Amino acid sequence: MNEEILAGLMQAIQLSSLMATGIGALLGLVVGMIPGLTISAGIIIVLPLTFVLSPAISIALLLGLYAGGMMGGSFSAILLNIPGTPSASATALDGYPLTVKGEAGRALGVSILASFVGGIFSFFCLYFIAPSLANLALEFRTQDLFSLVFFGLTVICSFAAKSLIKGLLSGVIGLIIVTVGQDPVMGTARFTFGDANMLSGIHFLTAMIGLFAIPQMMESLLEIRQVSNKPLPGAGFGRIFPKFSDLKAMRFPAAIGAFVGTFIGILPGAGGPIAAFISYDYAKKISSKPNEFGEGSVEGIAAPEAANNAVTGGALIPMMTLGIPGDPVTAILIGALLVHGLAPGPMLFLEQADFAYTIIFSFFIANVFNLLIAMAGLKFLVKVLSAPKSILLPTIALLCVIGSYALRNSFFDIYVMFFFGLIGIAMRWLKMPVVPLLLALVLGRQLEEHLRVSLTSSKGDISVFFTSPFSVLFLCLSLVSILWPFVIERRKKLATK
Amino acid sequence: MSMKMKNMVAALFLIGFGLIYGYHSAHLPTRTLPNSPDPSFFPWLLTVILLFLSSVLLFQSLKQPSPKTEKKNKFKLSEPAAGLTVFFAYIIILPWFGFLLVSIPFFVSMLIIYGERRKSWWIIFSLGIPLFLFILFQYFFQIPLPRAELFQ
Repeated sequence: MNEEILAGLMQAIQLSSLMATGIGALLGLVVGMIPGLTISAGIIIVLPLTFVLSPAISIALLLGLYAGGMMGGSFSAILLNIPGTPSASATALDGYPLTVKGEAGRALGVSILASFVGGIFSFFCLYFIAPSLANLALEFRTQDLFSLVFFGLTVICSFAAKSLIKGLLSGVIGLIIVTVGQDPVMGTARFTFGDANMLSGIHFLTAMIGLFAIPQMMESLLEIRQVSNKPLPGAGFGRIFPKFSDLKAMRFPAAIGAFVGTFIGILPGAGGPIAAFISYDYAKKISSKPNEFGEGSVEGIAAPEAANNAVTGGALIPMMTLGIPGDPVTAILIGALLVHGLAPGPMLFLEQADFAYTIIFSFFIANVFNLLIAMAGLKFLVKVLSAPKSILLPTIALLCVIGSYALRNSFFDIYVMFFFGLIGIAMRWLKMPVVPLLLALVLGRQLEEHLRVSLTSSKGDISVFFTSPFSVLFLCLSLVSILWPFVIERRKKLATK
Repeated sequence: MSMKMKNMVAALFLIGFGLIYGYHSAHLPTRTLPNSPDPSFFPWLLTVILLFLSSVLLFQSLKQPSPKTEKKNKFKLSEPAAGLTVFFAYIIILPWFGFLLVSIPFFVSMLIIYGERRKSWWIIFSLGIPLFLFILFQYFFQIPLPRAELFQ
């Protein structure tokens, strides 16, 4: 083991980091299992803390929350048939029927173990792939980086939207917001209207708080009177750790889920729900008892659960090596690192290799904590499902204000947060995806900088983007990702004719 | 409002916004290095893309058939509107009275909007949670919270 890996490991297993990972995992399990509260809401709760904690502790806390949130989402899906997170939707298909049959413990046990398998598999992929990919990425020149960021944005738009136009519009609005403030090459003030606060631009963490938290609070106000409180299964869960026969049945679906989840996690924007449903479908196809799917099949729980947890490790690969976030949570992780002056990307492995490995090992520990906390404390954890939202949501509102203000000690950021909340509400009303906007806020500055630097170095010649093999590859992939939804749509139309 | 109408409104709004954004992009300073794109280059590019995409959205929504029966909105919008108004009032008053003083009435208002009828909860949580957060962040984590301008 080389020096940097060892240093990273030592940093990750420090008592303070372990405590942060454990607290993060616990909080993640809790917010993940409460329907209506997303992992992003959990991140908002701890965000102000990350400004004062050391980078290693902050990242341990956030990774614990990320992995825990993914696992927690399945608990309410299994017990109440209400997925705590969108990624747990596929788990409900077979998890809830088992609960109805009085085997909630069995379903929860399979889900916890499959999540662990998915998380650990993606850890190994992260550990082995990330450093090599970072090495490769060091060869990229500005034109390659522009094409890469462009590719990241197009994939996000095509995955995140039912309507490609709305996805692209959301991304473009994000890029327009990024142009507020000083331009990244010359430092010229743009669209500031003489306001000094606008010079430093819109901080994307402030925007993220508004975009996610405020629409969610308002939506909860719409739902709060309509959602009937389903009672939790009262007779207890029975045995939680899966029996040998269940372990045998879940081994292939969990392996499929882990593989598919990690691969899909690497693709920006694809995310947990897609991975979970693809794995569920594959598991059903290879199963010897496909008829049991939908009726309470252990295989039908293992595949999506392994997949949605594997997505987390997969999403960390492009985040750490290329600085491209795969989903809102990894976007927030980038923000949390940037606050501490650490920029994810290939240079992270070159200049801060020990810290890069701290992230990787913290992710491993987060998965172990999840397994331990969920197995040992499940019976207490699920009581959170009956916690009143009337207390929880105003508390989150206060935390939104604290988080926005604490970033730069400025009231301006609180107003920006509220303004983005209104944008988020309008976008939900229009069924326009928010994720492309958020990721454009993260990537927009890089996109402009790489574009302008490339054009400056080539004296305005745009052929510079078509002479480098990496750039050509990324541009071709971008084209494929833009055209892909049309191809799918056409195939569907032909199939229905 | 039908989705068709919503899309048309959004497209028209974005076209209007794109035109204003383009106008301001045209008035940006042209300070730049030789042979390099100036600061308005990227905004111009975005203006063109925004106008193109908004026009496509408008065209798509015009082509879309009108829904035969309008679904009536079954949700009551009074609660979200009240919640948003209270939140807006909260952030406006916040600089004058500071985090602790304003958060207490805000919390009570939100509890009422969320349908909480237990008065004991109003008192316990609207005092307890803002106070707990204040002590936790201001003193334990040393994160400064909004201060009252009126008392400085």
